[in-house]
Amino acid sequence: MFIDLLRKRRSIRNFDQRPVEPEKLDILTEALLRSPASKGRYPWEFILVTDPDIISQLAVAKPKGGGFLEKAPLCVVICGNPGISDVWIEDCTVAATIVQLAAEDLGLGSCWCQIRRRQHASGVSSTAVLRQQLGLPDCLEVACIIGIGYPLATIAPRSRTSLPSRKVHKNVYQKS
Amino acid sequence: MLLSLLKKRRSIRKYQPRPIEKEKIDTLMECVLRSPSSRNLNPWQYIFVTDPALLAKLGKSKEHGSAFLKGAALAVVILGDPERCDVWIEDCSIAATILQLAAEEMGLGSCWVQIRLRKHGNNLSAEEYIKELLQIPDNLVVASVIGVGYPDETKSGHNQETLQYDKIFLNYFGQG
Repeated sequence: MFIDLLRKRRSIRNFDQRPVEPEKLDILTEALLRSPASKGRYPWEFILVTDPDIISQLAVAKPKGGGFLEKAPLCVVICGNPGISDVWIEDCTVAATIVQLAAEDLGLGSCWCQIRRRQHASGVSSTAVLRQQLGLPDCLEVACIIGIGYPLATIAPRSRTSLPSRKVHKNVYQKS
Repeated sequence: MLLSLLKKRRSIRKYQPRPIEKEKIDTLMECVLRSPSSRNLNPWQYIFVTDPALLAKLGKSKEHGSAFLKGAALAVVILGDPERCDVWIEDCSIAATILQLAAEEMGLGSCWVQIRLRKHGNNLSAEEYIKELLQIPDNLVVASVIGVGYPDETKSGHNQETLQYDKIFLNYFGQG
């Protein structure tokens, strides 16, 4: 069940070194390409990075929070073209969410590394640095990078009682 | 398997008049509350609208693309708090995606209505219209509305041959 996937899913930042099998990579690729997008415009492009040297560069795209990518055997760089859709952020996020859920379903762990609105240690945008490293055209923005691999350890699921239930309202907004 | 859900999923805008069972709505609520968010700040809130009069009014949120909400058994209004997190667009979009996939698995159809960056009419944004309708506080923004119901139309899934494999690159942009 889908809910079981959500109940056990946690962000995984420590990965086993074994690579993601080609068959699983194919499934993740298909899942990305099946992501729905506003008005069927599909403003995204995806770069699947397995080269350790390039992954090391991705890990320093921002000074904090990206270091875990260094140990990920697979990084999916999710790029969007604002010229194709004004809601490219939403469309890239849909794809990022789907690839994370598909990874979880395959027994892989993953974690999101936010790139949009984040800066490199030098003060320039993380996107500008990645654009140069990955040879991206100027029309593409980098939304995020999803690090994927076999989890080194499991993290306990969140309990139902820890969920912020007051954030659900019925019919109209109820001030608490 | 998640991929099988993705293979058959299509946007559904025509719904049967029957209501959605309480247990299913409860599951959808749990799903949105389990949506991961940047640094676990959970900058979202949700309004589950089942009142027919309000659904009809939500159908008038935009000149185009929202009318189908009138026939939905449920509309989930997804709100973000920009003061709580700068990447609230991403966090709200993750929740919307998870909600749609969970609905699909339960035999429900759904469709996304974009609200951010969309107009209600000449002088009013779709967001302002919904905020007034549902008594939403000023500090929150409306990202999207997801219409949900038992499908009254069938669409076949997209063929694998139609997927845009030219948008997948390996290690560098432009490298297949």
